[in-house]
Amino acid sequence: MTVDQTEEPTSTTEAPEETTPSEPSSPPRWRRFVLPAAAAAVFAAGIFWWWSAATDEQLSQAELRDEVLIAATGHIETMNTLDYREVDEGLDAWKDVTTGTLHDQLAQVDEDERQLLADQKKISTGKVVDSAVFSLDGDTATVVASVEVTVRDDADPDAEPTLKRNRFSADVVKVGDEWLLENLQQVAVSLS
Amino acid sequence: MTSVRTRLSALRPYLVSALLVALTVVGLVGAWRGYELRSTPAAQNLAVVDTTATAEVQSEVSQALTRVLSYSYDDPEPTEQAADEVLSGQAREEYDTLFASLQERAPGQQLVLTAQVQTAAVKELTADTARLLVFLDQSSQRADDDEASVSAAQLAVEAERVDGAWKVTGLTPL
Repeated sequence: MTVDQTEEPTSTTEAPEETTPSEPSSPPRWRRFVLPAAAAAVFAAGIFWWWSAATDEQLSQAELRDEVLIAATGHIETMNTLDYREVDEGLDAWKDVTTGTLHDQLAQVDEDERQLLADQKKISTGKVVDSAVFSLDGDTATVVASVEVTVRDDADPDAEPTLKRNRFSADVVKVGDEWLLENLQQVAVSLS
Repeated sequence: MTSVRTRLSALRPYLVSALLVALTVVGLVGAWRGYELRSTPAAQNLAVVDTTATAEVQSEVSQALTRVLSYSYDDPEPTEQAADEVLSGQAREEYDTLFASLQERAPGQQLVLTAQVQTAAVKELTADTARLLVFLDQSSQRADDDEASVSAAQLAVEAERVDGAWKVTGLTPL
């Protein structure tokens, strides 16, 4: 707008005839006003649109929700996976994806318990069939998952692997820039 | 000084044009960036982040499932009526087949089914479509059973909003 105002006096003095102001020598008034106004409007609207999207709480929450779901889904699969030939590696993987009490419990699994897991000769593989974020509140979230666990029994090599479908609910918490499982439990049947 | 000033005033139209072009370009870039931020798949999905809409679809779908999956051999009417109200599309067709065979067996067995939703989590949500993961418990009691047998179901549910109300259009046991 300032541009337009400063141009005003110059053009009137330059106008050759007082009776028909500005028409032959300079563009009509509306053009001198409309172009800067349009540019300013495009600028303001564009910047506002960008700013409102960049600071939109719901948009950042949506990103977070998808991030939580991906992390938790992978972690729940990890927690349902164990190979008796690699118990130490399996337990390390469990420790890597957990935090808090759950993590401490896993860290306390002693040599006898490890041996027990190895002796069972089971290979479990967890696969999340479907999962969804139930709630999200800042740095904590609850994720539910339908998990298919395939168990192969190496003590009985002829046996078909068994399939189990389990319902899980996981509490996830953000530690640093990682989402970790704080709690993982089966959703038991409870009819009231 | 005067010559500089005249030269500046000669340049002014160009400077003004350049400024206008710059303002327009920055504005357009801003609009584009804003559009990009809002059009990601994550941004289009209102599940969880729109708490009111999420709670609404959770509760309506839970109620719908509880009603159509509860059944009593001596009073099948409410179940049938619920199916008319809350089921639609493919879910309706599949349910009708199931219900027909249920109607045949139920009176002889004196079958009573009781359903209860444990958890309904919304995975995807737009203004009029939703996908949910539902954990549902169902007990079935027959005349010769000593006690009811209970099953833990996991359902992938699709829902659509029709005339302001959510209807279940897809029901897949996982």
